[in-house]
Amino acid sequence: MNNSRTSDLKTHVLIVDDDYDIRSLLSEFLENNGLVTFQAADGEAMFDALKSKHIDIIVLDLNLPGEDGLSLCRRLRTTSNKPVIMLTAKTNPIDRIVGLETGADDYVCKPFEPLELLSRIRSVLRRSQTSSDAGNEHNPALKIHFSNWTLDITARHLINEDGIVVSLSGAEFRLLRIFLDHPNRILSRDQLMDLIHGRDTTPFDRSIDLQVSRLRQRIEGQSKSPSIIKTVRNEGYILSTSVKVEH
Amino acid sequence: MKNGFFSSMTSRIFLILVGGTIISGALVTVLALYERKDLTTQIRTRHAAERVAQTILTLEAVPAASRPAIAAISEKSGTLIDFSNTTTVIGTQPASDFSSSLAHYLDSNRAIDTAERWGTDCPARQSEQKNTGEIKHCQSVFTKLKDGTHLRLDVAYRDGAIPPLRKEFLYNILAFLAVISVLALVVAYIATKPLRKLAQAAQDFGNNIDHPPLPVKEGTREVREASVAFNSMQASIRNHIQERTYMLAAIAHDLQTPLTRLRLRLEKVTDTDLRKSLIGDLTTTQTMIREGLDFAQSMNTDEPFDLIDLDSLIEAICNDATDAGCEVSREGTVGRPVLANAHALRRCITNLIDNAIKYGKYAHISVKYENAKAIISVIDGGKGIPEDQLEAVFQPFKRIEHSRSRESGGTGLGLTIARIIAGRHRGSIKLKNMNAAEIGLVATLEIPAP
Repeated sequence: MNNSRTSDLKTHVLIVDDDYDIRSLLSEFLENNGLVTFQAADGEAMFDALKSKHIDIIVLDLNLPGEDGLSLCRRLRTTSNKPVIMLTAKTNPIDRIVGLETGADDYVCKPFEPLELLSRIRSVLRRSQTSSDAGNEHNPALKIHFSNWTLDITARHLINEDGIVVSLSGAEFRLLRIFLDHPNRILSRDQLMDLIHGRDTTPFDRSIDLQVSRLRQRIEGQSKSPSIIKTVRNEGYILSTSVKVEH
Repeated sequence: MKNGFFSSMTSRIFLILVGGTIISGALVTVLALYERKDLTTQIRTRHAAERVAQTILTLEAVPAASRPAIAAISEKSGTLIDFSNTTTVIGTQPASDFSSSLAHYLDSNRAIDTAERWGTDCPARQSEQKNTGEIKHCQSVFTKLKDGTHLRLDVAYRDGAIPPLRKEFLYNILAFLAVISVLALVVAYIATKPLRKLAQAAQDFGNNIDHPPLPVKEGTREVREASVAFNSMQASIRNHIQERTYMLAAIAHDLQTPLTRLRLRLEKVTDTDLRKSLIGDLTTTQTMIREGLDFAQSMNTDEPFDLIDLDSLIEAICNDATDAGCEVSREGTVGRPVLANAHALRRCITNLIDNAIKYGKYAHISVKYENAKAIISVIDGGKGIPEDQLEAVFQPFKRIEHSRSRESGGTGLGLTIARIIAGRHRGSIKLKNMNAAEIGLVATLEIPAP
């Protein structure tokens, strides 16, 4: 609210946090990086701002006095599809599940790297723009079934047909997630890099080909002719199997 | 003595039972032998009295001329008869077993005197002694037949004796002892079984704080009471640990807000070098808090166990480490799933590998399956740690100064967390110095995988 400049080209971020210092410091940082920010100290202020301002994305603190972030997110989802990034101080998987169910688009754990938050804001906005036709964006998947496998999104591991847990490295999980989000679509190496970047700041400096070959080894065994992730010559890769999403 | 045969409660109970049975058995046997001796004496006394009474009645029934012939026959069976002796009473004798028996066989109005004789004044003794051993009893009976003939009868009989030990008796004793020993062993085993169960439960509880409580509806009342007491102790220890864990989590949690502010404020620092070093300090602090949270999390035991493919887990961890630019190599497989919590086990193995990379430059992971256990060895290229510190490094916040500097960051909780997780999987972690060039420390994680 300290910034009344309106620019259709700039991203408008609403920061909801009860801590004045965090709110203003974050606002300052984001403005320095070319975003327009508004602030709200609690849920009521957030809904007021949503009514009166044009907001592209909400950065919502989980721990708020009165109605907390989870509840606010749930309430927001009944009327709006606006992207939400949740700020949480907890890191255990239980909170991830609860957050996912309430429809937050991403999470950043406090204390966060300011640049990481910035990249997540951009990544979430990009996703919400490119997949606005997907419809299910705010009802995120808990499990994805494909071929003989089940990918557990919360636990970030695979379960095979015998119910045995098969682990994935961070990069393998992110890559598989991208393939499963775009089944039967050819993804070029550049597209894959683009989709992976910003989603997480963990170094991903190995070439896409190496990660794909690791992922293939994991889900296709030692088979010489991959049947799930196929190579399309000169174009990229394609996940060629039916995918069933469990919400 | 401390670890000897007597230190075991089972053997003590066994010895007390067998010893007690032998002593009481011996006492009962001795008493029975004396009782038997008395009884034999009594039977012999009555038998002698009966013999005397019969002789008197026979003498009375036959004519006087036949009496000497009868006397001769009775003499052969040890009863001396003297018709000439008219001495009557030698002294008043108290009623004895012999005299009352004699009175029982004869009619009551007959005048009869009996006298027990001691010493050598026993005519019957002489003849008896020829055949057998010692004669204890010698009775003289004075009476008058119905026709007025005075009569003196002398009869001698042996006292009851304790029979000598026979071979069969020895065999019986041995068989009896064998039966008693078996019984004592069974009793000792049954008696100490609840105690052993309790000890096992305490051991299990030590390894895993969430070990299921003891059944409180089984066994004797004392055992049930002990089980209830043990379970309540387990619950209160668990509560205590949970409280501590919650406190740790709460502190770590509350630190997030000021740290977030601090991190955002650092964006305003224009001196690039200063900002870099401040961010470095903050990162170290955050790492410590995260380890504290992980430590608290490792105490949290409601995470479910699944069958997990350990080989894929290790490969995933190695791939993550490689992606983060660490030098990691890997060999061997387990080849079978293990029952574990994937998240916790990942943290455990990651900590071992992180430690190896932090202090030993690289990590080489060797995996094998042996004796129903998955064995994961993480080998590093450092200088190892002093032998007397191999166990100490598992203590929370313990770090070895000099060789492992605080500069490297972390709280020293990594190995503690790893060991807690291993314990929750009924496994173990051991450290060993290799003392070889380019090979420093080996951390070996063993997890049962039946």
